[in-house]
Amino acid sequence: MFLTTSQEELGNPPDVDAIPANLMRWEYLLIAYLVFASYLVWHVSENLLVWEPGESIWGLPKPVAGALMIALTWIILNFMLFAVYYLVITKRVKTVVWGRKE
Amino acid sequence: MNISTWSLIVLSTLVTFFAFTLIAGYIGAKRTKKGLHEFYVAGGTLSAITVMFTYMATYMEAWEFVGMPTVIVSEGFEWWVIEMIFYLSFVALFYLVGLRLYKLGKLHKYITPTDIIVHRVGGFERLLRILIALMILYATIIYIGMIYIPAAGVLAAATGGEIPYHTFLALYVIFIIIYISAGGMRAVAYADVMAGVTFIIAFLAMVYVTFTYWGGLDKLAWAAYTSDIAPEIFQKTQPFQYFWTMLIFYGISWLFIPHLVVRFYAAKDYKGVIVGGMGSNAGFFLGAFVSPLLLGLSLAAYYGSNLPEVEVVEGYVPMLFMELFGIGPLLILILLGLIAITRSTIDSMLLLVSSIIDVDLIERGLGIKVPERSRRLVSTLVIIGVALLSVTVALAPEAPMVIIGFELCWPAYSVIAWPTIIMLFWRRANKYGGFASYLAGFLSLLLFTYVIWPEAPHNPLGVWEGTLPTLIALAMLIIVSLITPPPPKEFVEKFYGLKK
Repeated sequence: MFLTTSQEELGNPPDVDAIPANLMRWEYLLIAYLVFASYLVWHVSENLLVWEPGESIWGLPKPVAGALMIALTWIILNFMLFAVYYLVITKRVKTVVWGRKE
Repeated sequence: MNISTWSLIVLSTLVTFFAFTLIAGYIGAKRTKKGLHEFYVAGGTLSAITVMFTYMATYMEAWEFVGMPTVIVSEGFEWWVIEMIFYLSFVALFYLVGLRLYKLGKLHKYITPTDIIVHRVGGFERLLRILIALMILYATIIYIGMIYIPAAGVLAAATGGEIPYHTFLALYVIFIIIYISAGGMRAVAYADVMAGVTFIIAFLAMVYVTFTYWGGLDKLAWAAYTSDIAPEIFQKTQPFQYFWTMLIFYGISWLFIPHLVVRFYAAKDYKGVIVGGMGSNAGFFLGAFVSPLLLGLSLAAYYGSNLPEVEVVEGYVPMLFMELFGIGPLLILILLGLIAITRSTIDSMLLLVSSIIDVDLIERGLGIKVPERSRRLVSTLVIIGVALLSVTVALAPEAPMVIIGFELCWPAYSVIAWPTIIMLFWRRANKYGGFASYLAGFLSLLLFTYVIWPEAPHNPLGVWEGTLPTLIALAMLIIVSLITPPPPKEFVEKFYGLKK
């Protein structure tokens, strides 16, 4: 229905074959990360979203520090996952190209 | 009617900006080859840098730059924290889901987000196309209307109401219709790059001046936290389960937001997805975290409870800029940035809805054949129709855009996204489970929202509005798939690209 004739004749680009249809084993670690993220959400929402002008974290009001904790978590994760995915998929692409040459 | 020089400058800024986007539209039209795949997903040839800006433009819009700072003072700081929470799950799973969507898009040459859904479900194609098209239309028309609100409200507020909200609304719609009709996805992508650059300049100027005025983040934060509005806005009113369901259901549903899906199709190669994703997520740190935080805290610190009189609450942001920076070139630059970001999502959403009506509803759902030479005319008419229909949402807005989005738009996206993402990996899901899932999810959403629990959060459990309908959709997917025969092996192998 969606596959074009030209694609069937030419075969897939190597990166398409290199991306696995299943989850790679290490990708299941992201579920563990979501458990940690749930804890972080609980911590921020239950303990830091308060109006307590006498208290501070990192020199900032508690709600602002809580938001900062969340944002730092996802931005660090972003760069880490970028590096991992770039290395893993690039390696897999090379393997696919090598396999086709052989 | 007397209009001041400043108001005329604001009007000219809008006209000049759109003149440049029309040039982008013209170049896009020149470079757009024939065919739907080219018009809607740029033939799948967009480079990593272009993809990065288009991803960024998908999210860094009026929602983050205008809506979030506003909601901090109008509804409470927690609503912005909720937005931060969604990035925790969205960023974590972006590459995992995005690469699979890219793979399947390249394998099967999809054009619309519905393509991948009906292909994976593997049956009931016509009915499913109509159902999904209706679901996406429902959410997207509200979404576009919701973004019209700050788009016009910001400029009306900048003129102090001299040029009315409805005049700017009409101008926006006219300009956008013209250049999208001309250039398709390529025009949107080029204009997104331009919008991104303009936004970055305006953002940096805003950060510099804000820091100069307040003397640093900590001083700004404390000024806001000790203002007379602080005890009211820095308090949690939603239960923990609302925050947690935003992390799980709302956050993950963003991975299959229709206008992001077509950008995965449009990427040239896997690097486009990975580099584009990393760059845009990094951009979100500025656009979704730093920018709304500084602006929202500035609103609280500067005005406290004496917030200015505006037609729509999103007008607080330009009012603050005018107060802090005065009228001059810097303010014009900032207004340009505001125009750019309010525009960037509207156009891609219009293009998306156009593709859904054109391809999914008319051609493949209802089976009406449109001759190729009439295709552009149909697309243009669809864009005009949807653009005008969405205006009805923005004519008399009753709530901040952010609240409209959380409550009405994203629950529908979640009902589409969750079953689809599960089916990307769960091969046992079949056509019966797939169809039942979307149907039950959408019907329960409408029932809960408009009939059973008309008051937010539209459920008695205190969870996010989209949670219960999504759970019902997932339950239907799993239960119905398991009690009916599995999908044919041949079909599964072909869909996932396992058959060489």
